Amino acid sequence: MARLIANLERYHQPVSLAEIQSLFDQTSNKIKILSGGTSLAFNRPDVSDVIDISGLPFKGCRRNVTGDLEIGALTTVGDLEEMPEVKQYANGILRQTTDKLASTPLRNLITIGGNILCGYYWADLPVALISLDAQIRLDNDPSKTFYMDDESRRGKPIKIADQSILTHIILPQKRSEYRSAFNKFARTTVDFSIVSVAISFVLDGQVIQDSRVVCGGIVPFPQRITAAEAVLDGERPDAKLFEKAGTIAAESIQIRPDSRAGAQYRKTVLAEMVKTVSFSALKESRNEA
Amino acid sequence: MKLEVTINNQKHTLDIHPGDRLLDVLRRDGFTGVKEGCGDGNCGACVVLLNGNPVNSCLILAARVQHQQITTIEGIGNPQKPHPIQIAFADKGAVQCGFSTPGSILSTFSLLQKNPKPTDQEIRRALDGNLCRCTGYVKKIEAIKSLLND
Repeated sequence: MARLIANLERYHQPVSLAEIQSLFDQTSNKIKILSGGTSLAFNRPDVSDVIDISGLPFKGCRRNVTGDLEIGALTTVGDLEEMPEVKQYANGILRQTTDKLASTPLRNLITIGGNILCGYYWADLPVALISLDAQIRLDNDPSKTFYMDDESRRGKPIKIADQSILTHIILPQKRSEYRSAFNKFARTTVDFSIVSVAISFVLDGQVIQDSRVVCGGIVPFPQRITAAEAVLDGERPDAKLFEKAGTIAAESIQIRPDSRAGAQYRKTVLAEMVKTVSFSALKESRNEA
Repeated sequence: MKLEVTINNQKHTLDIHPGDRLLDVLRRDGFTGVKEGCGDGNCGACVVLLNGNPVNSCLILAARVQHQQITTIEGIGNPQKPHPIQIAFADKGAVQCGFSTPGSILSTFSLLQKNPKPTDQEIRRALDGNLCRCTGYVKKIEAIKSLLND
């Protein structure tokens, strides 16, 4: 009989941040924080204590006073995709993403916070979230709110302090009506992304502004491709422009190969996807309809 | 440690190791309809319902389900009193070796509880975590659709 964690001695199920802090203070043992827990079978961590945070109240979503959407980090992907606010936000880009993320039993376990902090390069939600200028909040403390995208660590997994808990993801009201789209390329609908792309922009008159072009599956962590954004911003959208953005995106990114696909193949797919996802963002806008 | 959990509407108190998988704890307690396939969350043979939602029991620490509700295939039906989903799967030839069938039945049960009239696409999506290497998927989808016509 296989144990997920062979040397695990204690399993804690706190229901408040204060209780977690108390656990941190009381033990010097090796600790694993667990939310959805789907990465355990991959990682098999050698720890003596697990702190299961799935009982904390950071689930669901609400609009704050400035109109931003605050999503609890412990919301499962399965619950996230059913939220009316999420379905409507920015062309429903997050619904487009969850639609292509893992399988039904896994979506019922994976949390939005876990998908961010596990730091997998194939993770799909961070691709869409970065394209929306999403912020993360730690410890339910507004003073500990940070943009997921930060130039100083662009393309690297997000690390938080050992004794901090990711409690919220915040989507800005500003981007709620932006033209946005996500797509991924994989061997099967439930497989890891070989390449994923999210694009978000606004049309100012007939001109693209404030674009975000984000890729996943090909770099150590989903990241913006600012060179492609520079191609789009200030221009009228058409096939030639989107093709140029794709070409520039593929040229400007250092692509990592893995067992699923080589770097040159991924580069070709990325160029095509930036083009097609740009079109999707343009066409799928509710304003356009 | 002691695990207090409701399995198929009956309360159980079980002795477990904190590192035990839910899959192993259930099988050890006699719920052998829960199968181990891949062991890493890909195949869905181990699917059970956690508070009504399908999950991979091979990925979950049993300690996590403290005071929660689990449904296994034994809670859906049995040879003497099969559930209509089980009858439909049998009638439509959706079962061959049967190893993946409990997971597929539970995923279907959860789907129909939440959405009694699913579309083809919704049926396919609900079963996207249940791999079947002998029957395939067409017969399963036909079986589920036959239930919608009743």
